This record gives sequence, structure tokens and C-alpha cells, in this order.
Amino acid sequence: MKNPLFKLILLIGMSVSLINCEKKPEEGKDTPLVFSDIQARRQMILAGDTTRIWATASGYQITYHWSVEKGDLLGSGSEVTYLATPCTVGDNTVVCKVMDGNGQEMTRQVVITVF
Amino acid sequence: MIRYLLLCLMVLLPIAGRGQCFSSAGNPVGGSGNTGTLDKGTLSVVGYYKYALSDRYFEGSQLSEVDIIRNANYNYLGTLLAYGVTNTVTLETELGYFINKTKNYRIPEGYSLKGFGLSNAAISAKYQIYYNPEKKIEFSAAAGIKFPFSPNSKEVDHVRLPFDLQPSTSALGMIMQAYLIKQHSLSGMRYFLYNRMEVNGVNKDGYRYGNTLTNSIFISRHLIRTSNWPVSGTVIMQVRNEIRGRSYINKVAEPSSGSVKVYVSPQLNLAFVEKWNLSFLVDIPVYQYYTNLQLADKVGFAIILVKPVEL
Repeated sequence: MKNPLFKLILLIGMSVSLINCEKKPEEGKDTPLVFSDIQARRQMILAGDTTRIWATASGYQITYHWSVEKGDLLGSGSEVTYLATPCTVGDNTVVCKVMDGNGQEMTRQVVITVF
Repeated sequence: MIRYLLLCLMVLLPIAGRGQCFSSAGNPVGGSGNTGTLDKGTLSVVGYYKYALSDRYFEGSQLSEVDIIRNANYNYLGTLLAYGVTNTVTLETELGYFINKTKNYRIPEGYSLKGFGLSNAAISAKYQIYYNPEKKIEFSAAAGIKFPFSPNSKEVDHVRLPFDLQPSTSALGMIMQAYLIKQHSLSGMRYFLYNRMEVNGVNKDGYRYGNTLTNSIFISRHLIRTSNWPVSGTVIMQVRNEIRGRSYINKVAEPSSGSVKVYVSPQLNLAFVEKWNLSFLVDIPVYQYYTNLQLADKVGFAIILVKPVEL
């Protein structure tokens, strides 16, 4: 390492590598987050019944986050099943938050009425 | 005296892991119960395991035909550290972990949801208000706080678990406890009266688990008192009443929350050469009343290990 010639070659090599190292943008990173819809197969059900709920969204590395105050949500991803447990009579708001890889998020909700 | 207090400790500990049931909402504090104050400089290390099963619905005090859930169960590990700061003041910390807290559904068939994670932790201070060594009567009281390790509700695969499957309340709370202990040396009989009140705060999701009041009466008796035998045994019978208040979502009472239960819990305690204590108990509900329709308790059991350390 004490040889100046060796240092020079190393420096040139690193410079060439950096110049040639073209930074490729991550594919789809510029895709805007769009949360177009959330739907339930049935919005009125009886206690003890289930209904399918799905969200339609697009964007970069999106994830679907689901929550509900009363009742149970089964499954994950863009589609879940809402189970109306005995304590759910009335209106129950199922919330879906879609987050993308750029830190953006959008929220939509659907109300399931349980009799 | 220490052995006597440790026995009390083991008797009351399992009050922790149970009770948070499923539909009846609310979560246990880690180690829970302890009894009496420890002598100055004494450290007590306790570990326990608790299992509980629910597989039927109750409406009021009647068995219901609703069978949405096939069964629900949890496995819980808890610890409690108690340290005698002085002869009248004992500090305690409680911590617990849900290995699982699972609901297996009948509708839709084959589905299950599983919660897991750290329960609330608690720190409390206990003060010996009255102690009469001649009559062997002690009265102590404790107060403390319980707190979550995360203010956020638990999610699995980005789906928030139902509140009854959350491992902790995700909110601050308070604990108050009272202990009345009476011992008869000659007959080997002991009597404990234990009360515990837990007050829960509101978490970030606007949910407040119902407050709980537990009242327990214990009667215990030595089985083996031979001095050269390395193991001594004690049988304990506990009758416990649990009252759980309504839970609230955004200040609105959850319809299916709140309950009154009575359990009978037979327990066997074994002390090995006065150094280790091992205890087994079974929780049998003998009366259950639930507001509206809720998943009811069926049975539970616990194994408890206690190790006293003289510092």
C-alpha cells in the first residue's frame, strides 16, 4: 500500500467504477398511490354471519391495513372477511388504510350494518 | 415467616393469567397477586404458566346455542419479582407474555385468529398496615400502576386483532390490592382474604377495557409436616369472585361486555427442602353471568414456581 503507483491505479479504478455505476431507479417507485374503491359483498348481515370486503388500490409496494371496532376481521391483503360476532349489532365501520413504499397513505371505509 | 408468605404468594399469583377471557374483554396484568409483605432484604422470584379454555357462549347465566367460535384458548407465561425494602414495605414488578391467545372459528369453518406478545407490566408498592405476631394476623394493602409496552394495538399481517385477542390493554391503568391473612399454627390452617381492583385507561384506539374487581377467599392446610422429609405439601381451596365492568369504545359501552363469575380453584403446593415451591391449580367456573351474549370460561390450570432469595 506504500507504493504511490498502486494508490493511483486504485483511485482510477474506483473512479471508473463510480462513473460506470449507473443508478437505476427502482421500478414503479414513481407510481402514485391510488385507492380507488372499497366494497363489501353485503353491507347488511345478521349477527353470526360473514361478508367479504375488498379494497382496490394501486401504487408502489402497497400494503393494506385493516381495522374494525366491533367484530372480527379474518384474512389479510386486499381482501378480508368480516365476521359479525354477537356484540356487533348496529353499524360497524371497517377501515382500510393503504400505505405505499414512499410513505404515502390513503384511507377508506365501509359500513357493515348488523341486525 | 418467609415460607408462609411465599405460600401466600403462590396461592394468589394465578389470579393473573385468567379472567381476561375473550368476549368479556380486558387483559390481565402480568403476575398479579402477591400476599403479605416480605422481610427486609428478601427477594422472591416467581414464574408461572397458565392455560385457559373457552368453548361455549353464555347469555346472562344461561348456556347459549350460539356457536360461532369453536373454542378459544390462551397460554400465558408470567413472572413476578417482589423485594422487601423494609419489613413493612415490599416492591413488586409483574410481567407476562401471551404465547398465544387464539380463537378458532366455526364460522367460517377452519379460520383462526391468534394474538401473542407482552401483556401489561405493573409496578406496585405494598405496605403492611397491621401485623400481630401473637394472633398471626396481617393486613396489607398495595397500590401501583400497570402500563403497556406499546401504546399501539397488535396487528397481524397488517390486520388489527380484535380487542379480546390483544395481549395488553395498550393503556395505562391502576391496581389496588388488599390482603388479610390469618394463620393457626397448631392446626396448620391458614385463611386469606384478597381483593384486587384494576382500573383501565383508554388506549389510542379509543378502547377502554372494563375495570375488574376480584375477591378471593383461601383456606389452606399442611399435608406433610415431618421434619426429615424433604418435601412438604399444602392443599388450598380458593373461592373467587370476579366482577368485570363494561368495556367502552369511544365512550360507548360495548354491548357484550361485563360479567360476574365465581370460581372454585383447588390447589396443591409442594415445598422442596424449603428452597423451591411448586404449585398446581385448576380453575373451575361454578357460576357465570354475562351481559348479553359472550364467550364463557370453561376451565383453566396453572403451574407456579417460586424461589426465595436472601440477599
